[in-house]
Amino acid sequence: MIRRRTFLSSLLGSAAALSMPPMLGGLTQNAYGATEPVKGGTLNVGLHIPLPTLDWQSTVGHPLPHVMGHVFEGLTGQVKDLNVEPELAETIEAAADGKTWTFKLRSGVKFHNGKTLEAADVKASLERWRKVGPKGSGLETLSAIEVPSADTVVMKFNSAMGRYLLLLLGSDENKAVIMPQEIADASTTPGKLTEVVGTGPYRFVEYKEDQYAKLQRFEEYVARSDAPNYQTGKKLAHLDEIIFWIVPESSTRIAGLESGEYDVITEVPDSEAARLAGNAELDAIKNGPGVLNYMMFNHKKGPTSDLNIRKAIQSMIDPKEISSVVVSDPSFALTNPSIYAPESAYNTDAGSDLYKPGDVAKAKEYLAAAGYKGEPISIQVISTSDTQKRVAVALVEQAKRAGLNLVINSYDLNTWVAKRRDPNALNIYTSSGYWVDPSLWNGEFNGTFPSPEVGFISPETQEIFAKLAAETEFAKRKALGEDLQRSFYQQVAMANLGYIYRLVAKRKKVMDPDGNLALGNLTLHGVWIEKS
Amino acid sequence: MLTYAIRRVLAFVPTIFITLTLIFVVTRLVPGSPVWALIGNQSVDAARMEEITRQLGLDRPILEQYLEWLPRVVTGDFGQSIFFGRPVAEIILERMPITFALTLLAMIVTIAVGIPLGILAAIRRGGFLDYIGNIFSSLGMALPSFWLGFMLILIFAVELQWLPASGYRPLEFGFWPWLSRMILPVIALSLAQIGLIARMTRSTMIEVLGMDYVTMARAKGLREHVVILKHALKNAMIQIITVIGLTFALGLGGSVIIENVFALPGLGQLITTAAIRRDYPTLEGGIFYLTLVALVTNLIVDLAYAYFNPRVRYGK
Repeated sequence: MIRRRTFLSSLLGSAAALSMPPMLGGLTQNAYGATEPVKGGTLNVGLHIPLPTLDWQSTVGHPLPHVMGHVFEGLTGQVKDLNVEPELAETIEAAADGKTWTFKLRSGVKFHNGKTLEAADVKASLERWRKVGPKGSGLETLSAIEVPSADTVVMKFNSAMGRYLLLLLGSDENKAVIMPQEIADASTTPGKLTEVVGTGPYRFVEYKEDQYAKLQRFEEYVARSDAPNYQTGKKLAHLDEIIFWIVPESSTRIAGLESGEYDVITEVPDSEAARLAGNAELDAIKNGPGVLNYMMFNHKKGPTSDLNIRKAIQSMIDPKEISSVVVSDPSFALTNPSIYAPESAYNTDAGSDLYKPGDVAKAKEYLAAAGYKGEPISIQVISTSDTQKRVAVALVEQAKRAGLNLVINSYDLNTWVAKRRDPNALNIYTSSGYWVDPSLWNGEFNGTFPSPEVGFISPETQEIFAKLAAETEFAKRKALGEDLQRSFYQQVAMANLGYIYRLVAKRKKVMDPDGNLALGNLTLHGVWIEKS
Repeated sequence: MLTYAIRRVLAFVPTIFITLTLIFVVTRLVPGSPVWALIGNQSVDAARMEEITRQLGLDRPILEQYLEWLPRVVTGDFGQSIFFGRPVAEIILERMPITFALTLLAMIVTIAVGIPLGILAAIRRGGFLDYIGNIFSSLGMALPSFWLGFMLILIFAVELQWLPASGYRPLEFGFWPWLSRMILPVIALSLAQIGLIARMTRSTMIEVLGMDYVTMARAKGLREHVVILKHALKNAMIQIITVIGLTFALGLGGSVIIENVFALPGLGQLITTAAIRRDYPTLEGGIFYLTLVALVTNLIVDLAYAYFNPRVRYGK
């Protein structure tokens, strides 16, 4: 058995290797200058997108973590190094063969409806998540969830499962959140919860569609005793109320922040960074980790199913040039050969000998080897995505230099989603995201995404994914992560287009001593409002 | 008058039928499907997609869908919203007052400013007021409402901090919180319409003021304001009313943009998000109710026109 201490020390081993760059830590002391948190007040957040559902278990939808991350908790939660540590779990033990994982729950944890958390709630929630959660398919080798006592949950697997399990359960993209058993059992339809009841420091009050979501402090919240650590550790709820106002228009969000209507706003264009930073009442916060812009191919049909064509594209790409058109402020872009975020312990240059940006001569060689005759290769973009359009325009210019006839097809979001699944329509599309752990790439490269008819799969990478899933030791996982990246480059599973950083802004009176606003999705634990 | 009114109301029926058919066809012609929007980035298998398609009734032939849909929607039943999981009528009922208040307030401001501006420009033709009125009207019509919206936010919310930048507060929050969030959108929406009404009033008044009966009224020694307001304006109103009806319909259309700029959760914003999500029932319901209001407004204008101008009633 791997005791919790062993498990945590392996985590610490990786955590020690991780450090967010200073630019991400970045909150400076301000004119308010207070050091003692003040309890009370309403925090008004200008949110860039409405909530498609209140059911976090059933979606990877972007705004859900921003709001529901304060309402729900999981067995594990993300920490500052973007790894995970126990959240509702007190201890986590894995059997030596990796087939049995035992979670001992914290005692006295209350749901927002007054009920005390028990193992049966965890079992029901995990079973629901497995059915409705996009990431729930990661539990495909799970054979049983057992509840030997009210505070113990045992997950049994058919084959070895590494600590990827904990990332899978705790990653806030589609977190395996815990709700009361009766709600989990009754909410059989994906996207529809009979009630929104979690164990988090804020309880859900109401959501007025396309208007606002309101949360209130949960007075009976039982915090962990360890130090605050991003989405887990001791969560301090200083605010009486958080209201997430839905303001899709970025100019309106910014104006609302400047006029004092909103205290924090999300998804601010980087072109506004300098102007906002120049306002004595505001803080512009660079938000990481770096988001990778990447290119995905149709691997099953058409010109991009030819490895030489993909190699030609990989060679012709110059991410630096692409970054210069994607961001207005160069400090928001970064060229890095790794498929793991620059802030991740797994970030590596393995295989980067195949990554020679803007190598036009090499691209021409590969095109000749493919017998390419100038037939058009399409890159599909979402018409409302400025980033995708800019990336595509830069790529078309780079393709011209290499003699590749790249054409842009612009679609609305739904059509774009439909076309990228269609083997007869798709050649190339671009997307973005960040990966802090090699196993997390499995969802995109197990042959099913975006559809089995176009997705990438290879025996070599499947073998690496299988080893990663079972491996617990960080050093060995790091080596496997390097193998995976090398394999990606060799097979051109995808193409790296460079990293960009996001921008969040707040009023100076909003105090964030833990620097959570500089990290990932909006996390307001420990945030308080200073009275001016 | 009654016969004319009945005739006009009866003509309403085929208009509604054609409108509904167009709404159905256009929403189905748009590429994409609610299934894609529901799935989003998730990796789901074909069986699950087929299941969702079947649940939404989208697997049936389009004509069958239409024949099932039409009798239902003429009773106002647009079904359940795919995304909100609630009856569309219920959602529209929540959103309609916001759009209606915005458009109505914009129309009141338009009439209150546009008509006096047009009258002043007409009676001071070629003078300073006419010159200023012309500039104001041209600018109002030329400036895009979304740009104007952002400028108003920058000036009155960010710089002067007199009014909130965006958002909506229901009347339960109090009258001023509600009104303060409507002022800037109303100005942004009404400015173009003020220009239109002012120009129409000016040209009609100039024409009417040159008529013999106006000269006669003046010759009789009536005071100038009586001549203008009682004799000239009353006759000019026939054309102006038509334009007022038109501006109301334009305002409803303009609300789609303004509501998005000012984050007002009205029918315009609902239609925009429903279109993005391919939420057919909500999109169809939203467009239909907006169209219905525009049609009813036109009907009222037609009836008012007939009232003011008896020649219309008798088909002359």
